[in-house]
Amino acid sequence: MEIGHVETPSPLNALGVKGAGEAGTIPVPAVFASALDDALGTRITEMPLSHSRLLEMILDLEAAGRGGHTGRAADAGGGGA
Amino acid sequence: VKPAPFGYLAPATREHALAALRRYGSDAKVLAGGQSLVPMLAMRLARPAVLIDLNPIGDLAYVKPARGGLAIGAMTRQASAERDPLVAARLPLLAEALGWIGHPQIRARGTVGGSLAHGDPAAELPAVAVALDARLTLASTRGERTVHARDFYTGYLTTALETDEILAEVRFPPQPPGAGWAFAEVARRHGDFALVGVAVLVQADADQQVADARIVFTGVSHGPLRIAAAEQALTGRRPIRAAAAEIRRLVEASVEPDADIHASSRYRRHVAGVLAERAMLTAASRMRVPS
Repeated sequence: MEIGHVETPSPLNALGVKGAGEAGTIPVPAVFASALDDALGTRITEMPLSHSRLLEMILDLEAAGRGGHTGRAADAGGGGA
Repeated sequence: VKPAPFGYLAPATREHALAALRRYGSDAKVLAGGQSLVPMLAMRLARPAVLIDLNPIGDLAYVKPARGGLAIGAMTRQASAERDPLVAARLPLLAEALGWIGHPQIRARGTVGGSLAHGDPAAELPAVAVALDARLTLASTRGERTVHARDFYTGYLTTALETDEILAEVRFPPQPPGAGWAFAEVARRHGDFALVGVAVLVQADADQQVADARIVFTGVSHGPLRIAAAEQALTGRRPIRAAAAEIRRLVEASVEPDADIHASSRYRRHVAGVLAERAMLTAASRMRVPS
């Protein structure tokens, strides 16, 4: 993962500061979902993305013959932690 | 969360413990290492009137040779068994599985007999006991009886133990000479309860064919689950690797795991197939042809 920075100082105070924490966490699930979509050919539209849901999406893709470029990606399902 | 009030007995001898259990029966729970019972008390899933604590009874903890195999006292700590050279030499499958139980702190208190008697559907030791054809010694004031591990687990958290009986000892026959073994498990984090675990034992004949196989799962049923179809498919095979895909398919077709908050049924079934294949190949790599 590479992290980029875009600065948009707030016009509402002298230092231009904003709240931190929460704002940074919001796009993270979408970033992971997009990476998985790119790698697997899935279309993830819902969180949380549990290991069970992800594996089942991959198995469904394979069953439909659309998971060709993933090889036996479902083998990774046993990876645990 | 705190337990409901309970009486506490700490008998100094096995005889006193059995007499107390005779007296209180189903009103009592037997406390071994407490790694399952104490949380259940705290969550009030268990509300016994009396706890009978076996910890003061030192002579229930031992590992000793028995007919080529081992007799293990019920109060033997999992950590002691894990480090015992006799266990490593005679029952490497058990030694490997012990390392999968919880964390070192849990194994320092948790006992071999406690895990077997509690019979959690995701526990490691019941599957190992079935795979190794262990025999459990159940004691009461009426005397002792012996039950095969495969007959001991009768339902969800339910065993053949009567209300006046304690599990006193587990006897393991020796692992067959040259048999390959493996215990494999998937949990969300190491030390969590297994989502799926499997114990595999494969024995070769002089022609390097599989003479006998054991494939026993935990986490996919109410108790340990032997997959006879996969065992039979493995028997007579050489090389074992050629059977991998078939074993995986047979396992997936044979298990009907429940879904819960930790994993779906489909996930568990898939992982069961993958684990069976992995464990089987590991066991095969450790197999030695009898000389």
